[in-house]
Amino acid sequence: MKVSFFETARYLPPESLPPEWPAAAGAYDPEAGARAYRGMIERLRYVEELGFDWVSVSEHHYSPRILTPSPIVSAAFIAARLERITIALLGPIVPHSNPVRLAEELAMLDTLAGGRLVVGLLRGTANEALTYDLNPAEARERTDEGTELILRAWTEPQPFGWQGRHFQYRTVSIWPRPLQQPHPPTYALGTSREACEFAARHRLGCGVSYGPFEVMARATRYYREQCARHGWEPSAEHVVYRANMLLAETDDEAHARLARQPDRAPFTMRPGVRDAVAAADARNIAGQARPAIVTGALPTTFVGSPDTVVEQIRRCREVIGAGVLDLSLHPPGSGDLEPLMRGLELFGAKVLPRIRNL
Amino acid sequence: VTAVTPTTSRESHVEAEGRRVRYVEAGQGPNPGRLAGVTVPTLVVCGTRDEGVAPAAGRGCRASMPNCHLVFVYEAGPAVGAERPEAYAEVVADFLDRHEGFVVRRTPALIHP
Repeated sequence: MKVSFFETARYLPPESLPPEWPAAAGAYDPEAGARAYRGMIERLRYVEELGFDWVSVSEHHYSPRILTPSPIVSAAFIAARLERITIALLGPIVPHSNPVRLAEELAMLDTLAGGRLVVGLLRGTANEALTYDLNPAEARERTDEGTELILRAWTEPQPFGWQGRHFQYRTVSIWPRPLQQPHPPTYALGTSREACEFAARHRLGCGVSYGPFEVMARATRYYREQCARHGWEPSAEHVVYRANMLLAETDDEAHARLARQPDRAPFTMRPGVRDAVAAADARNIAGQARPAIVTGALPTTFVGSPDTVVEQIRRCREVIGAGVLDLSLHPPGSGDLEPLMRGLELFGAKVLPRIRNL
Repeated sequence: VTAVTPTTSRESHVEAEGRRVRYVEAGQGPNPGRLAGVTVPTLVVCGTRDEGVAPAAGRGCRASMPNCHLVFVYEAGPAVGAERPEAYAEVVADFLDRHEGFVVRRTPALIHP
């Protein structure tokens, strides 16, 4: 089992900030932002020392919850300051990006980082469609097409044009190409039937997040079936599971802390906006419809003492088949660092060594 | 793989299409020596889902012919024109109209004048 630490920059917003998305930009504190990014590097030095395989960064906009609108910039900053750890972009939001630009930047980043890059390409959460005025109904198709264009830009030896459905370029021929050939390990992130089929057809990994094991297993099973249909068998490392973990010395302490966590999602859209987005967006898990927007807090999958959590991870490995765990050891939106650092220490000492060989 | 060459006179697109030349037939690779002498501006169109020899042939054309352009049509197989007719017609017509100038975008991006 490989282990990844999900780094969100941990900016602590003032309590007076209304918890809505988008958050008012005027409330941003530049000094607090600079501190958050410095803290990110200090924390990641410790994460690397503990033996985590990857650090992951994501793309979110317009709120302090995850202060990384550009995962490329996050990754470049981390790559320049840490020597060994693999940097996983989980990931750039493809449908509202210029795929050729993404292909160029990811190739450059892989080269700058000495081939330490892992790439997850995804559609993005429903609210992100508002960020750059993307039509949510087109997001799925644009993700597939954009991802296919990125793969071709990385590998096509001759200058080419792209006559797509959503993207059109007459001249593409990127320099540099990735250091890892033909390209960095790449995942199509998402539980939908379309994402699983896409990953299987292009021999990419599959990344799922937050849901219960049995539900996520529906997606990863479907992914494996599709891979078989395309004549190949994914390894455990082709499946990443992102989840929250609440680790404490004892089960009682872990559950007591879980009970104190907020039960609603931070920074949500106003109801009228949320309903309009939800109406334009459609999501599924291996073909079964699911709501486009999660209104409650994200679930915490792994809860308990080191012994309990090791057992939960063993079940996760069996049920979902994940070979990489991408973990938040504290809710991503929280800037309260003390429990996070204690969780990291405990995880490094009492969990990590025991899950290596799962 | 389909190679299209533009007309030098002001023929209609339909007539120009009639002069389409197949340089590479299925099962045969391109002949670089012969292609190198083809200096007429040429568009080579290939579907992204074509799993035959076409992509390699298209690359061969692009590499060997001094004025060749290679365009991939997304989600088309070997029968590009039948599978993505609008996309195919747009790029072929644009090439026949503007020859190599077709690489320069001319459709306005202006939203509100």
